Amino acid sequence: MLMTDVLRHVWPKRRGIEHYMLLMGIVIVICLTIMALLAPIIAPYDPIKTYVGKPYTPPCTEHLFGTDRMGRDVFSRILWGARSALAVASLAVVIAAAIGIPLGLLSGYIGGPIDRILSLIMDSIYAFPSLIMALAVAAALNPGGATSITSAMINTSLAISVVYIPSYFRVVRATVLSVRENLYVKAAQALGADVLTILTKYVAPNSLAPAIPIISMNFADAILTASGLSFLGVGLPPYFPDWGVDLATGWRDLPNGAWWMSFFPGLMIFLATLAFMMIGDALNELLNPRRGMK
Amino acid sequence: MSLLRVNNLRVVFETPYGQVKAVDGVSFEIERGEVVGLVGESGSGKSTLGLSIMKLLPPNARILSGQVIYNGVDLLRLKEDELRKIRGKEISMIFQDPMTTLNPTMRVGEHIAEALMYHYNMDKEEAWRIAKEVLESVGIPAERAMDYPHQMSGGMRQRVMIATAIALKPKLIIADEPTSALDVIVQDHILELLKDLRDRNKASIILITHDLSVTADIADRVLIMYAGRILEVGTVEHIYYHPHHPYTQGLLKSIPKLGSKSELYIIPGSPPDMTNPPSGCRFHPRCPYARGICMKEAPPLVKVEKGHLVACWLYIER
Repeated sequence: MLMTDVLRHVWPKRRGIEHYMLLMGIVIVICLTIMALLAPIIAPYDPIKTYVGKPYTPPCTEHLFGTDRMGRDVFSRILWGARSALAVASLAVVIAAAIGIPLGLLSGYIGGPIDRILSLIMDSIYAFPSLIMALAVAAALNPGGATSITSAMINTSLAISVVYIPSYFRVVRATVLSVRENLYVKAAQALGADVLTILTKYVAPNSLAPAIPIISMNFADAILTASGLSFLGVGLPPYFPDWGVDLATGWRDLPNGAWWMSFFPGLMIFLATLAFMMIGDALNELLNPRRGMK
Repeated sequence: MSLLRVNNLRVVFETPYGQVKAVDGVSFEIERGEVVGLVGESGSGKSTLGLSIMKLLPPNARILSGQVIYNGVDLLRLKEDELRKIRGKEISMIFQDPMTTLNPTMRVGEHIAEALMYHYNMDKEEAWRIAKEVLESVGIPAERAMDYPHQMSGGMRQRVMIATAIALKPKLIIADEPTSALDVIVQDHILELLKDLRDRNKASIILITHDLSVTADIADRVLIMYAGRILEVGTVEHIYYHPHHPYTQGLLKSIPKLGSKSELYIIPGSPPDMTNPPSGCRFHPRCPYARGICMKEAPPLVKVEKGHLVACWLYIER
């Protein structure tokens, strides 16, 4: 009953542009997920294996997206790249939300000196240019390169997540400041509820809606930042199939006319970012309580 | 021993415009099973008084002095976790606005079940069973317990609020304008519920209101509050048929009567600025009988007959 209510709210009879943005974003994300999941089955070649074809082969029927300077199949690398892109971005967003949201709740509800100190720390992270911040953290986590792919991915995610913690913190804290003044919070206190109950059952469920669009916005940004980090050499190792890595190695061959090596990874980054941006924007619009008043 | 005794309570709010003396030396007591009406206009400090009994004042409020003795224990001296055991279980509160006192993301039954779970360590199933029973006792069908607040009307939500307040069988209920936001017919149902509660559970009720007719219907005694002080205390008969204080007299005269040809009486002036209240008797700037002493000294509450107290220089021999 509730589920259908939600569905009717998200997909009503009268729809605006934001409904179609949401649909398009979701379709692209589902395609990316399928790509990532089925990469081992649908990829025609091993993405890491060199000289599966002649180096610098332009797109043709054998190599849909061509081959790179070491004769690796670009199409296979793109498919496998969806895995690392989604894994790194989702891990980064989950870590950032898992730290930023509870801190924002606590800080906003308790107030006082704890709130002051936390806000100061968050604001100073926020004030720092994000890519430089991520770069610094990634460099600190990966001195001289990570030992394995898994740790490289985790470290990259961590580096990116640090940048996003303040955005969750700020949004949630600001909402809590107004939510905690609601009479139902006082009524809960009058019934003898403790701080933990009030935070988890009364304040949190009413404060999290503004954080949802941020999740998808950050997802988009995380894919870009992860590519940026790999591009700069502090993210994933160069042989690994990753859009950012491929873009970084591919662009050097642009002057030779080998556009396919950087075009396809770039296109994928663009599509993934666009999809998450569209979902974020649409949710932002659809979840706005003042919606429908204009 | 009375159930609750408030002694010389003084509460101020720190604001950018200065200290607001919201409650200024209030004393009263409530017996078991008694319904006391606390009547005053907006800003008279009646809600602040209600909140200070529960120690739920906003952060900018300060209790300067006084005691709130419940069952022999001074609540103002208790630690937060000791107070939590009393809130809801011993003393509970019904708030004015039923539209905002229920959590929009929680099913209405859960509001009650939750409180039962943490006060009595009940398991979920039993708590929900009792929650449904309590809801039925206030006239809400058990299957509506799974509703969210937005699916209910204002009157139904106020019934839910009352159900939450009575589910733990508290000995004292502070009802802060429980009927003000409701239409007259629903008001009547809610008052009946409160009466029923008093009879069944032997609960005492403090009914905070600005509506004298509501108190006439249900209260045993009435406290008239003005600018943070109590001006007159008496039974409903005392207050309605023999009001002594000029303010009480003015309040009664300003109730509109059907069929009356004369113009409605209005107490002249407006309630005082509480950052800088009038000297002496707080009511003197609006009082038709004000004399020299009224501006200099605040009158004490004195007995005019058994159970009827008035704070006015008119009734004090000098």
